[in-house]
Amino acid sequence: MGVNEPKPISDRNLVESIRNSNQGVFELVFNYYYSGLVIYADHIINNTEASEDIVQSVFMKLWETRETIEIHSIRSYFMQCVKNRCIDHFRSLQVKQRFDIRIPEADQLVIEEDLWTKNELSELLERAVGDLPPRCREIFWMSRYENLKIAEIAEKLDISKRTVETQISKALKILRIKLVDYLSLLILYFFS
Amino acid sequence: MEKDRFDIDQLIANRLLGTISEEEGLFLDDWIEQSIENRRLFSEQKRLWNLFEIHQKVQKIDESKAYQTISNQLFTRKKINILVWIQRVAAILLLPVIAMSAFYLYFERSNHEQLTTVYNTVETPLGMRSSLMLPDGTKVWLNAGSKISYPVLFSDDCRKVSLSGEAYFEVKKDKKWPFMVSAKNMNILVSGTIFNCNAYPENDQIQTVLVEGEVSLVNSSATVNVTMRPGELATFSNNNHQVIKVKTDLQKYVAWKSGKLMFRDDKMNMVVEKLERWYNVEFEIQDSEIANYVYTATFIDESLDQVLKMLTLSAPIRYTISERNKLADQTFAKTKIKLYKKE
Repeated sequence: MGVNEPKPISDRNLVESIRNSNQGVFELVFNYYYSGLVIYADHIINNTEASEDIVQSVFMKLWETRETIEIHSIRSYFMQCVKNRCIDHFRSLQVKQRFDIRIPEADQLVIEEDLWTKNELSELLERAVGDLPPRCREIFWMSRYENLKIAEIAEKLDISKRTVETQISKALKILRIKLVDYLSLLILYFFS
Repeated sequence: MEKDRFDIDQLIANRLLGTISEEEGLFLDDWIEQSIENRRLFSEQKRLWNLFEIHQKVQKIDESKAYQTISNQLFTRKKINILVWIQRVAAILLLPVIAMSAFYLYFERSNHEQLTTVYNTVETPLGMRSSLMLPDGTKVWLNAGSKISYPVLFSDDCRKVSLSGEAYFEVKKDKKWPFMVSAKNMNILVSGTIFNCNAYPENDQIQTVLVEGEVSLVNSSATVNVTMRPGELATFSNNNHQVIKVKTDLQKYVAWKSGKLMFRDDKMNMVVEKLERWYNVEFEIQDSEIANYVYTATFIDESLDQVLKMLTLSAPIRYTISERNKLADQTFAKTKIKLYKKE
């Protein structure tokens, strides 16, 4: 499960297809990695819009240089490219604003990072949430996915705010035990 | 102890939910500081919490829209077509005319008399072409440096337009409603036909080629009346009011309408004249011998530079391009190209 699970199609095949100008495979790879890479960039530069631009430019570069490119792991290729562009982004900010912005050292960014794709993340979290006791799951879902406030949930379900808080606490405890092995892999997302 | 743990879980949850009280907050901070184990547990819980935020964020990202953006840039080569551009410009230029026509047509009944005396004029600058539709549905293509005037509403007895320069007409068929083009001293009378008329004021002749149908050429004093057949070229001389008819290759005369510049055994002075209008430049032939060179070529969307290069390849000539000097009124003079005989 998770990041190291072998993919049904090997990176080598995918890269080979892209090199042969297979647009369908290119789109497939784009859809698979895009969101994860945007989140990844967003955590480095903290600007979602610029992150989307960065990731798009990485994909465009891949297509434009497809004939000569050497890729062993698509995942690490993308991460490296996005990271480099993020550093460029910091540099350009520095030039534009003419004051000191701390550029994270390249080495610093390498630590314990990993890339989660949208699919992987959804699969992991939805399965874990799905396993919660029904009432607990319902309340947790309303809080985390529907962005309802405690008071709103309490009113909607006609229960006390205290009960809502207790159920969310219970959900978090169950989920932590369930997901603890993955949390260390997710360190990337919690720089701040 | 178990009771304490439960409380701590609740406190952590409340902090993440933002519902923690000040007192509880202080208690929690104390607890976190007590051991590495506590700190780890708190940070794991916080990560877990954030993980769902990430998950929400990731779900909002629209990869198919993003893919659309990049595939548009990668897979559709945008060819900047000068013709398309000209069409757009022409369309914009024509908007006021259309608006005006619509306005007048609206008052057609009450103002019919007046409208036949109100004229629209459409003019194309040098280096540009345009097309338009007349009030009766006739289509007109205007070559560079040409002008057409027509009433907002044609009168009942005749559809009359006046032309200076070159135009290609696809006249709406109506046998009972004659269509007449007046160009200088000559009138072209037609019913429903397709023809091209070349009547630039600087030339002392008017050339008409007939693509389809039938036309009559009548001079201003009605002393000449010539009927043309399709495929014929009629040259009307302004000096002696004579008409000379010959069978011809129509393509050469109407190619401009589809953005082609076509020369078939044409003398250089005529080639140069066409190029001047097409590219809005000025030529000077430095050696009179060059004027008699005969030239055959077809250009489609070529730049002036490319055309000039071709000229030098197929005839023993060379050229210089002068700088555009600023004139007294702050505008720039036309590009001037001088043609020399190659030694």
